[in-house]
Amino acid sequence: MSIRVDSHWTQLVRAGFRSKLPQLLNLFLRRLFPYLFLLAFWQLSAWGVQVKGAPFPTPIETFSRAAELLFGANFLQYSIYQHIGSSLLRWGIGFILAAIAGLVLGILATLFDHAYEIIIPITALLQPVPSLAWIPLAILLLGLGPRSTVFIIFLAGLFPVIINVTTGIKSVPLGLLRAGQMMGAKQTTIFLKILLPGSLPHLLSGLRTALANGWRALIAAEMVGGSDQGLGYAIFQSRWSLDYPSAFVAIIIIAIIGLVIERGVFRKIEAKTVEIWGMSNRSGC
Amino acid sequence: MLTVQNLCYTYQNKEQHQGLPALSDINVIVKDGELLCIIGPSGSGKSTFLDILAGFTKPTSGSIFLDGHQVTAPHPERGVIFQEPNLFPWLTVLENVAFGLLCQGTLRKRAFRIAKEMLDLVGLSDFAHFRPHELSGGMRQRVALARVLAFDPKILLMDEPFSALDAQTRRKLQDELLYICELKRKTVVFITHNVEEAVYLADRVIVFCSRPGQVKAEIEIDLPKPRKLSEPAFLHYRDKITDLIEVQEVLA
Ligand SMILES: Nc1ncnc2c1ncn2[C@@H]1O[C@H](COP(=O)(O)OP(=O)(O)O)[C@@H](O)[C@H]1O
Ligand SMILES: [Mg+2]
Repeated sequence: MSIRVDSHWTQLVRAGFRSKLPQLLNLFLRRLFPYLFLLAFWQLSAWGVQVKGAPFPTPIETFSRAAELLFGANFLQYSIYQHIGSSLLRWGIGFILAAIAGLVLGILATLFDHAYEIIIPITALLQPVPSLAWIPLAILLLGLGPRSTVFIIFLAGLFPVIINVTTGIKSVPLGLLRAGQMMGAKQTTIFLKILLPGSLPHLLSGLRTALANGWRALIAAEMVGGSDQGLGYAIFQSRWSLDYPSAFVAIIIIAIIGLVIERGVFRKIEAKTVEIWGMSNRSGC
Repeated sequence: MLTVQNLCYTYQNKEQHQGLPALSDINVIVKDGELLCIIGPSGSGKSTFLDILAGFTKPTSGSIFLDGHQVTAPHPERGVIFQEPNLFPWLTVLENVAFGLLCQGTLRKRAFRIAKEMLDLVGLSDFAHFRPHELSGGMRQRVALARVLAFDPKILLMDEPFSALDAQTRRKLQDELLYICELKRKTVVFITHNVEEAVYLADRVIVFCSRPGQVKAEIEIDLPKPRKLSEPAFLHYRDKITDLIEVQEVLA
């Protein structure tokens, strides 16, 4: 779908904008349609719920609240930017720790059979556990506070990285290793110049999953007390403050940040690496 | 000179019981500058044999010497060209060709200069900055040849390198290989299951038979190169070798 629309775009650009204005408008509407649909659905649900007497923020209420917040209004004592900032910081630290630990453990597992036999079964066992379930463990180990939050985000990302690193390294064809050997590559060269780039498609998808899981775990992670800011914390607190429009704003911000990271970071990295290399569709060479 | 003495190989399976040997008591001498073809039915141990010559696989018993030194592990003195190109998709064509030299400690400038020369030799200078996936199958095999020629090995080991190519491309690459061997005086062990290819290329053909893999016959191809596929002597060799292989396939 998006490919068709894109080629449509280029055609339009070639033909010149002016004469094609109605088509351009049509295209614009088509792109926007899913979001308009979502808005309409939201508006209808809001009316439906409000009829029963419960407060339910409409899109208009939410967007005007969003404008207030973006212009610096306080939300649970802090500006929205402070909430965003502290969430991003926890997320970033948790993700980086997960990426480093996952890489190290994954590489150990592929280098040493004994390490593999220990690491992989544990990973397989713990990977399906939902992030929410780690809260008691996090509190027992690290107490209430941001360290527990980071720990939960870390766990949400760790297992997918381990699994993808090991499958990635194991998926590098034997022929490429042999090619390196017969050209006189030393062990470290084989590792750095063949195994690592060869496993990059898997590695990227592991990191992407880790980042997405971490972001999703944010609310669960920020439910662990000890801090009074963060998007997840703010959403959770809106139960008491009844500031539902602000909670909706926080949800929208979470969705947008997730999308921006996915589109702006991972797609770009992929476009610069595995796609240029012809490895994204696994064409044999 | 490459000397193979009493080479045996048995695949060890998981249950630890010994299967039928894949190779049994192989004795072969490859002279310097010779192009030796090994032909045999599928499953006769040709690839196993080449893997052992390359040093990827350790023989169960027997030994291999190249110019008096025992072969125990892969080494750039023995360049391998595989059935698949096995190029590194993340490197450009030029970087792929320079890879071996860089591994062996050649300075970058020199390595890339030699790599360019090799690409010239295989007619791919215009594709130096392409990635392998942007090339055709025949071009990829040319790159595989160029990257091995770049570090000037004593011997080329080729395992059905042209078998995945269409007939026309295959013929062209055969001629290029002959030209390069002539030019660089390379020693080559070339595996094929195509009789015509063997007779077209080889100075000498060794026929393997299966279960266990053994040398069944050895035939000198006493024809000047380039050879014509239609000349009577060529057909004579072709039929002779075809007969040797077919007898086995009836038994198999
Ligand atoms: N990894 C393996 N494990 C067990 N047996 C194998 C393995 N690879 C090959 N073989 C067996 O060894 C014999 C020789 O195989 P191969 O060297 O690939 O033959 P060719 O290249 O002549 O077709 C065959 O019978 C094959 O089934
Ligand atoms: Mg084979």
